[in-house]
Amino acid sequence: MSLLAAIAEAFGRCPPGWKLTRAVTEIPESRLANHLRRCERCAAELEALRELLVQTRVAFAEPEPMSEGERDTISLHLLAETPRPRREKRTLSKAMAAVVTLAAAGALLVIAVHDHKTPPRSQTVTSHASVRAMGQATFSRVQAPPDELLRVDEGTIDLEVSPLVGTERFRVLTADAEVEVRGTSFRVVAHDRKLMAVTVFRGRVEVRPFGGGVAVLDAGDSWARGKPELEEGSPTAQGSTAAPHPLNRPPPVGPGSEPAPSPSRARRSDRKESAGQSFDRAWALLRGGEAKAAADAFGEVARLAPGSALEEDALYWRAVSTARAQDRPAAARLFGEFLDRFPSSSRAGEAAVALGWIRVDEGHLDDARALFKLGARDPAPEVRASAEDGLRRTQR
Amino acid sequence: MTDNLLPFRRVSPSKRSDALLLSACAEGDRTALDELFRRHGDRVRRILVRLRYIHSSDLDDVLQSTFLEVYRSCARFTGRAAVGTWIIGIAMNVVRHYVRSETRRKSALSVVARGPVLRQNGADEQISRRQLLAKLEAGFESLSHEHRVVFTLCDLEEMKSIEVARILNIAEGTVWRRLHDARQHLRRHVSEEPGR
Repeated sequence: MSLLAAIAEAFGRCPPGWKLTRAVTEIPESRLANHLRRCERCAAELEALRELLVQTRVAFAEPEPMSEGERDTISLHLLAETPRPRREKRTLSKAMAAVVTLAAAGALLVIAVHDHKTPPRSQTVTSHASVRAMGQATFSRVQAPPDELLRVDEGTIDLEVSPLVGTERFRVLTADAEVEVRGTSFRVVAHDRKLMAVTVFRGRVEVRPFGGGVAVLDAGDSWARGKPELEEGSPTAQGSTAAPHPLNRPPPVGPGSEPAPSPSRARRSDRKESAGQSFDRAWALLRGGEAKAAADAFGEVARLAPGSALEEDALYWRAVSTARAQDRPAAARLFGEFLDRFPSSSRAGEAAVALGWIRVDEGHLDDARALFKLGARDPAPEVRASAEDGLRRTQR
Repeated sequence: MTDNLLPFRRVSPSKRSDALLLSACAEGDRTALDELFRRHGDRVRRILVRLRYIHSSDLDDVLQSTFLEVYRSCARFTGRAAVGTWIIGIAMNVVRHYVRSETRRKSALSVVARGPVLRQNGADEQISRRQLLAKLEAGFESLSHEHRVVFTLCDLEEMKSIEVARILNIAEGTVWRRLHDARQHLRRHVSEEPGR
């Protein structure tokens, strides 16, 4: 405040209106407080403003809070990074979700009324999945095809997903993980909106806890919360307890996750079905500990599907399999070829870091540093961390 | 060399501070975004409702857009304000864009027509309350966007002026002047005789 204004106010001149406004919610400064004691007009004005504040707070009462359902739906969309569909679609989606929920409730009622030994009824909805609720499962569909999302909050459901084509996706979401399939039969168990277990009856399922990592399960495999279990003895299952080597355990993995080829990367079309089957066989060999045979099988996949995403994936895993077979010179060559051929691959960072560590073993520190620098630009934090560790260790 | 890829220690999102969650968002961690939504979503939604611009059917979209914008912008967080304040600032930007859209503005008209549910009081009291409410609502709806936002944040959300100044990136004195204008505007509406 200027000196003149202060003097004017001290001698009885009324303060500007915004100062009275401020005094409604804040303790007035002493000069203003003195003025308010002397000036009835300002005191009345302040009282009127206070009354208005009370009236508006009563009139514009606190709105209804967000419901749990609304919260979960938005939360799942944020987790899935899927833009919400437009209103028309959402209305449809909500209607379909309501149908699914009602159908589930009906099925539960039937199950509850019938003898416990009565097998649960199968219910088919307008979607790629046939859902069978076991006992008191709580689930709902939050998004219709082509990017179908099914939310499971509680209980056990069995799903039969018909083969998807093109860009179609089918995902099961809980608050802490997502499970993606391309056409398979599997069981999901959730508790308190958290994914507890996944069991695959047929096909392949990818489990992605949001905290990081990925587990790829084939028929007969199961995944359990906290400690991933693969029913068959496999190098990936061992990898979760043994001290991992970069080549035994490629960089982008976290606790409770398994290095695995991503089905989304390994897109298979009907035309390349045989290549897809070969990929499955190669992956089974790798998981069975037959790294050399797996490397050959991945090579076969690459020959069967030239120019496809499957080829890129197969060539990466051929290099990994070769490294696991302890044939480091061949692995170095294959990683190098992969990087030359697919420099912008999403696996390029991982391949560079893996090759970087081979170069460290060989004593080629300059080469290793160049590769680690490449890996340090990878979007995956784990890959970057490994690359940065490599850079530190090769520092001169 | 073998220990360079030992499992990474991960801290549960619920145990991380807001600032750490934002950092995790910048690294692409979607669970961090979810945790931020769970911490601040209610407050942001409440402000969105109170601003009375957004049609109820668009509310979830706007709320989700706000947090997706948080995810996209997290690298730009400088730490000058609290994370919650910063998120509300983003929400205000999203609302501004929403209001600018002509089609959305049309749909907002239906919000004006809808009044809040009144409690069951005596008939006279209810009529009196309804009249007061109608005047306040009319006054609120006719506030400019800037005045409406300041009034909502200061008087309805009871936020401190310094916080509102940070959210809107304006001087604190400007906040008080806008709030003063908004209150005077509402007073005029409340004191108006019916039918004038």
